[in-house]
Amino acid sequence: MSEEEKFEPRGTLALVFIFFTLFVLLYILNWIWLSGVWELS
Amino acid sequence: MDKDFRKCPITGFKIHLPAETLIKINGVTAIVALLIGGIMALLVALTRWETIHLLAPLDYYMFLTLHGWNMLGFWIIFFEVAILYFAGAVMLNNRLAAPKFGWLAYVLMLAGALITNITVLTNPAKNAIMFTSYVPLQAAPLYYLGVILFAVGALVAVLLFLATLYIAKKEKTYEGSLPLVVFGALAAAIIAVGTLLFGAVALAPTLLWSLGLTPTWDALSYRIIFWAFGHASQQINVTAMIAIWYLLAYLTVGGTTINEKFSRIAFVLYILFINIASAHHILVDPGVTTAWKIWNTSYAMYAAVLASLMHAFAVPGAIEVALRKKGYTRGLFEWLWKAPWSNPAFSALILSILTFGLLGGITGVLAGTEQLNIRVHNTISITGHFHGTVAAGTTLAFMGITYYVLPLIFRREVVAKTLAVYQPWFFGIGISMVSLGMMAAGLYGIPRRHADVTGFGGAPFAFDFDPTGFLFISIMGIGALLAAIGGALYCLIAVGTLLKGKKL
Amino acid sequence: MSVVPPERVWWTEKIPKEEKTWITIAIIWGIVMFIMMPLWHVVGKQNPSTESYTTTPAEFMKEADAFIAKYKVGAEKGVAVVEPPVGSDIYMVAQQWNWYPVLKLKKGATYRLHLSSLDMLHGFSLYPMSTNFMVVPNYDYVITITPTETGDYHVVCNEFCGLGHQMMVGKIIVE
Repeated sequence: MSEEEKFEPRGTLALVFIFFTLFVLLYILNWIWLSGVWELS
Repeated sequence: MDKDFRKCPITGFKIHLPAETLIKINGVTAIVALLIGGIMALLVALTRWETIHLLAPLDYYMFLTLHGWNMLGFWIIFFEVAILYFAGAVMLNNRLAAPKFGWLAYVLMLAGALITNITVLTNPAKNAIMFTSYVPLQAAPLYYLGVILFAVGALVAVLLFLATLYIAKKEKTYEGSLPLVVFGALAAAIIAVGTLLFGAVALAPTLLWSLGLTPTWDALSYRIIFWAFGHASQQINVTAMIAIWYLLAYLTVGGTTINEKFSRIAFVLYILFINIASAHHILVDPGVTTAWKIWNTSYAMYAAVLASLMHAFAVPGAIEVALRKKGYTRGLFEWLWKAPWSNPAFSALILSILTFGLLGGITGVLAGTEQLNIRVHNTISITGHFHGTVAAGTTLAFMGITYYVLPLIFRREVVAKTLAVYQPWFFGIGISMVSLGMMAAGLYGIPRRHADVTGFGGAPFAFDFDPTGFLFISIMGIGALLAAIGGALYCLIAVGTLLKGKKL
Repeated sequence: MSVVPPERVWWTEKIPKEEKTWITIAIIWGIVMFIMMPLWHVVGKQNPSTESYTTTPAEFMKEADAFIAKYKVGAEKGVAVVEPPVGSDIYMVAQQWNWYPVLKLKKGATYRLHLSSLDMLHGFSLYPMSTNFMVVPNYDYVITITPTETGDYHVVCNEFCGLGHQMMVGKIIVE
C-alpha cells in the first residue's frame, strides 16, 4: 500500500457506512410502525 | 510580555489573565449548575421510575422545571461562555475586548440563574410550568425576569466574544484565517445572537402579560416563536460541541480535520439553516399548513443534517488519520483499539460522538418527519432523543475538555486519575440507557412531563400501560443511577482538583 | 491543525473524492427524506391533519355540548358517553383536568374529530397506538379518523397543563 493510502481514514469510512445503514433501516422501520395506527388525515 | 498575560508552557498560547479569570468563573459556575441540575435529574428519574415513584406531583413538576433550566440553560451556557472566551482570547493569543463586560455578563447570568431557581423553588404551584412555559400557563413576573436576565447576560458575553475577534483581527494577533476551533465557536456565537433575540421576542411580551400590562397572546404563536428560540439554542449547543470535538481530537491524539474547507462549510451550513429544526416542534399542531410544516422541517434537503453528517465524517477521520500517522495502520480499526482510551478526555470524546450521532441525531431526524412525529410527539421518546443529543453528546464533550482545562487553565493536576478513567464510561453508559429506555418507553405511549403514569391521580378512566413500557422505564432508572454516579464523579474530580490538585 | 490558523486560504482547498461522495450521498438521502413527507400524503394512510379553524373556548364548548346533547347514549363514571352517526363531526373537549365526552365509534367508519381546549395547551395522546396531537385553545383541529380495531382506547394528556395534568385521561370505545 502506498504511503498516502496508509493514512487514509478507511476505518472512518466503514463506520460512517454502518451509521448510514442504521439510519436508513431505522427510518424504514418507523414508517412500518406508523402504518399500523388508525387511519388519520 | 505585557503584565496582563502569561505564556502557557505546554501549548505556547499567550493567555490574557483577565480572560482566564472569566473562563474559570464561568466554568466553575457551570459545574455547580450541573451538580444542582444533576441532583434534580435523579429526583425526577426516581419519580418516573414507577417502582420507586419518589415525588408527589407538585415536587415532580417543580424539580422537572428546574432540571430543565439548570441543565439546558445554566450548565450548558455558562460552559459555552467559558469556551467563547477561550476561543476568542486564548487561542488567538489575544486580549479579551473589555473584561468589565465579561463581568457584567457573568453577574447578569448568575442573577438570572438564581432568580429562576428561587422563584420556582419558593412558589412551584405558580411557577413550575416547565422550561417551555407555554402560554396560557402563567408564572409570576419574577420568573420571566430571571430568564430574561440570564439571556441578556449571555448575549453580552456573546457580543464580547465577537468584539474580541474583531480586536484580534485589528491587532493582528494571528495571521490568516481563524483556527478551525475558533471558527466553530464563531458559528455558535452567530447563531446565539439570533437565538437570544428570538428568546427576547418570546419572553418579553410574556413578562408584560404576567404583569397584567398586555392581553394574553396566541398560544400557537408563542409556541412557534419559543421554538425559534428553543431549537436554535440547541443548534448553538451542537456547534459548540463540534468545535470541542475538533479541539479534543487535537489535544488527545494530535488530529486535525481531514479537510479545512469541508469542516468550515459544514459550520456555515449550521448558521444558514438552523431554523429548519424549529418547525419540527409544530408538526402536529393546528393552525399551520402541511406545506409550512414540510418546507420548514427540511428546506427541501435537510441542510443542517447534512452539516452534521459532514462533521460525523471529519471528526472520526481526524482521529483516525492522526493515529495512523503514529503507526497504527493495520487493518481497518487498529487505530481505534490502540487509541488512548485511558485518557478520560479521549473516551469522553468518542462517547460524545457515538451518543450524539446514534442516539440523538438519528432519532431527531426521525421524530422531525411530519408523519413519524404523530407517534412520538410529547411521549417520553422525545425526552429520550434530546438526552442523546445534549445530555449525552454535548455534556460528554464538555466533560472531556474539562480534563484539559483543569491542568491548562486552572493549572492543577487532575486528582483521582484512576476514577477519572471510568468517569466518562459511568456517565456515558448511564445516560445512553436513560436515552434508549425513554425512547422505547415512549413507543408504548408513555408520556413525558407526567407525574403519575400508573395511578393517574385516581382519574375515572385510569388504565394500565403495557408493562413492556415500564420495563424500559426501569432501564432508564438504572441508567439514571449510573449517570448520576458518573456526574457526581465528574463534579468531585473537578472540585477536588481545584481544591487539592497539585499546582502545576 | 485545528487550533492554529490554516496553512493556506481554506476556501481554495480542494475537497477530496471520498468527502465529496459522502456529501452527495447525504444530500440524496436528505432529498429522499423530504420527498417521503409529501409522498405519504398521497400514498399513506396516516398524516397530520391540515384542517383547522380558529374558534373560542365559548364557541367550541357550545358546539361540543350540542353534539353531546344530540347523540348521548349514557354516562360512564360521570362522563357523558356519545354514539355519533358514521361519517359525522365528533367532538372531544380538553380542559383542566379532564377530557369529555366518551366517544363510542364503529370500526372501519370515518369521522371528523374536532379537538380544542377550553383553557391551556393539552396533548391528545391515544393509547395504545401512541397517536399524538396538540390541542390548542382558540383552534379547532379537525382530524379525519378511521378506527381500524375494536376495543377500549384511552386518551392521555401529554402536554403539561397545570398541577392536575396527570389526572387527565379520556376514553374512546370502538365497536
